[in-house]
Amino acid sequence: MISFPMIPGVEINLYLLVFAGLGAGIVSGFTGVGGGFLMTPALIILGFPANLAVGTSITWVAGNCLVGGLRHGRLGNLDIRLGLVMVAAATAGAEVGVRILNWAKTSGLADEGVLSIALVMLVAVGTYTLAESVRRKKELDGERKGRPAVLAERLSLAQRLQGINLPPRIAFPRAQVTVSIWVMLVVGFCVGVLAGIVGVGGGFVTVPSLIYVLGVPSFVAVGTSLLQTGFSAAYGVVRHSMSGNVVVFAAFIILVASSIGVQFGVQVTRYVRAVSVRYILGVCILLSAAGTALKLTGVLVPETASWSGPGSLAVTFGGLGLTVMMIGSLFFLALRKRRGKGVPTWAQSFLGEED
Amino acid sequence: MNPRKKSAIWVGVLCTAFSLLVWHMASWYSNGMHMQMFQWPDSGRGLLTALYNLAVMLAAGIMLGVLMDRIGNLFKRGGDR
Repeated sequence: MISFPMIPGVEINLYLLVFAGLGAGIVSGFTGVGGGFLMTPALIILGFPANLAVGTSITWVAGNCLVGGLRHGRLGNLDIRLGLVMVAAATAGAEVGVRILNWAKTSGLADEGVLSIALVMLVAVGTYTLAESVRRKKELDGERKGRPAVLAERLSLAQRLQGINLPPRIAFPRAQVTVSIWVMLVVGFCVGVLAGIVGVGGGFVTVPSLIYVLGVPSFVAVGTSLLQTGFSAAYGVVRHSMSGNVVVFAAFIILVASSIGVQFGVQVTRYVRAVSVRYILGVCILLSAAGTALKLTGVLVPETASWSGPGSLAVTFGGLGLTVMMIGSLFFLALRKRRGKGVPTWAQSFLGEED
Repeated sequence: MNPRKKSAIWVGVLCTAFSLLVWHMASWYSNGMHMQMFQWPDSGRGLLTALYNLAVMLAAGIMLGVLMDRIGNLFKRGGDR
């Protein structure tokens, strides 16, 4: 156990803190999310007050995105121009988000407000992402069995948005996208507001937005999201530090653990197909939503605290563990396939081709 | 100098630098300096706290990122795709 003087009277389980960092790092490196949507509820569950959980989480996200971004950059998964445009919009949004959170803190609504907003966003994004990836996997299964290829529906939304002729339009060669800058700015601003309120870098919204709204290839979306998330998180660090919301030593501990996880997560992306990234991202988001829902239940109905608290802990950390196991399993199966050994039929469409 | 030897030197340098950072963080945590800085926003020095937190995360993130990359280079057989 470890105690932080900023949280008097509370002992934090150091092993769970490190486990959360390691697992969040693996998920972050694999899916391109900053990991804040996993870390913020996890810290609240471990005993951090909501405002400290938000500030500490976003501080960790800033460092974590650097670790993952450097690795993805080496793999060519980074569109710097796209990332910088999103950064500009997200920074403005983050300022609005921090002000909203501080208002909630002074009104005594921080816990309920943060958890409620996080829950709604997690359910919406997770459901859409999972549904699309399941549909895409079925198409890939069909193609392997000889059925003709089907153009995925998600492309039609991206094509419509790319077709919006509102100047200026900017080309992003690495991301293979040409789109109106106004579309980019709206998406980036919304992501930034979430970053400020919930203490997430916005990756769990940015990655699906880049893929489904703008039509960016999944792996480039993953790498570019880390760049954008890192910048917006850095701004969040400044604002939250000036608001007294950051336990920097806790963020440092989590970062050391997550840096190991990120490397593994990034490596796995070299062995799998893009649909597996979206599938696991959707599962991970929905599991985090379930844990957040249980925690919120305990906050709103104190009589349920005896089961909602432990339940939230079990679902959040269990869900993180399950996601890590899924990523590890994919890696294991991909290695088997490369060595010419058999893999289950259900996994075939998730695994990448030989280099 | 062959790439593996270069990576090994980088790993050595970065491990040393990161150890210094860990020592710094642990000592400021235990001597209460982090708590003092946590309270600085109340006395108008919040920007210093913010810059310190950001600097720590940037330094740690870069060091860890490059360190992990160099460790990977030590063990890999081929180049990145």
